[in-house]
Amino acid sequence: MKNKKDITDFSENSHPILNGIEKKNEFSTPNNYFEVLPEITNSKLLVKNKLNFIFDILSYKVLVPTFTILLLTILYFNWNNNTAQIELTNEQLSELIIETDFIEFDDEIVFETYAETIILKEIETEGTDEYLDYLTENDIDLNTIIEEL
Amino acid sequence: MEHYTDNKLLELFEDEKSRNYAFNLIVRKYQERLYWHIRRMVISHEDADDVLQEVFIKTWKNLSKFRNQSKLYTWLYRIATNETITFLNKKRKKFFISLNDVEKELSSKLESDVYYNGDEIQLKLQKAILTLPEKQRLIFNMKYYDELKYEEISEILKTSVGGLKSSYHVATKKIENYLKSN
Repeated sequence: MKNKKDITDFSENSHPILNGIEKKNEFSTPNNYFEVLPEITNSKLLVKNKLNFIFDILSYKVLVPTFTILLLTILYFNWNNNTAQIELTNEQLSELIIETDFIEFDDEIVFETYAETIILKEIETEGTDEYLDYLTENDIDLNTIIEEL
Repeated sequence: MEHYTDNKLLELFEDEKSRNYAFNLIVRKYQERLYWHIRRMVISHEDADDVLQEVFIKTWKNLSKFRNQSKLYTWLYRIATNETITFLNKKRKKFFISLNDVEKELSSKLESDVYYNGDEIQLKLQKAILTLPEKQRLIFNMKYYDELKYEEISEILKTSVGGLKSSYHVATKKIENYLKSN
């Protein structure tokens, strides 16, 4: 213990230059700084507390319901847009059927839409079918006729 | 009005009705000591003022958690020390400057500071202190200027008393050498 005391004494007394310098506070502050500091600190705290209070109120009483309503509105409109009935032209419908794999159409709707086109095509190909039936029934080779011609 | 003990102030702070009053008294009681502690580290008055206000805001927020495990003023010193170190680190990062350059910057700030009235030898001493590493500077200031006991510094910096004595001894040696050679 005595040794430790000696070491401390030694370290405290072995700085002649430092000990020769007068120990004083050479820094200063603006006038009345310490008189007004508590008020400044208080007003700063008041502002911070108010901000926190406002934020708390906003977050719990206004922000949460507002965001909930906004979210529900977005979801509602989004759902409505997805399920809305849109009248498409035949061409648009065809494009949709060809390009979109994941849209399923009822066969009846497709038939109704394409009924006119299918009937017209059937009329066009009716004559050709008769000729082909005649050739088949009489066992005539179509290639032989083409060669003879 | 300011003769309340720390325990009495804390008691008043616990009560919602007297909280603001108690805090005001705490600020009045410790503002000067904390200010000079910070000021010696950051040098400029404006910076010290900013840090000190931040210290009091932190104090307000955390005082209810203070459990009397240490003395109130060592707890406040600890907040002030941490805030000062954070401030100096931010400054380094903000201006991309090294440790030594911060000390150089502080040194030049000291010479042009309107709120510094030291004579030539005092200025030389301050410059010598600014050459010390941050922790040694803290220890030197707390021991030499604030005249805190090693045990108190140990509580503030969470460093052993032996380590503090050795750091203080090294710091004073460095200052002596600086003063001799300049």
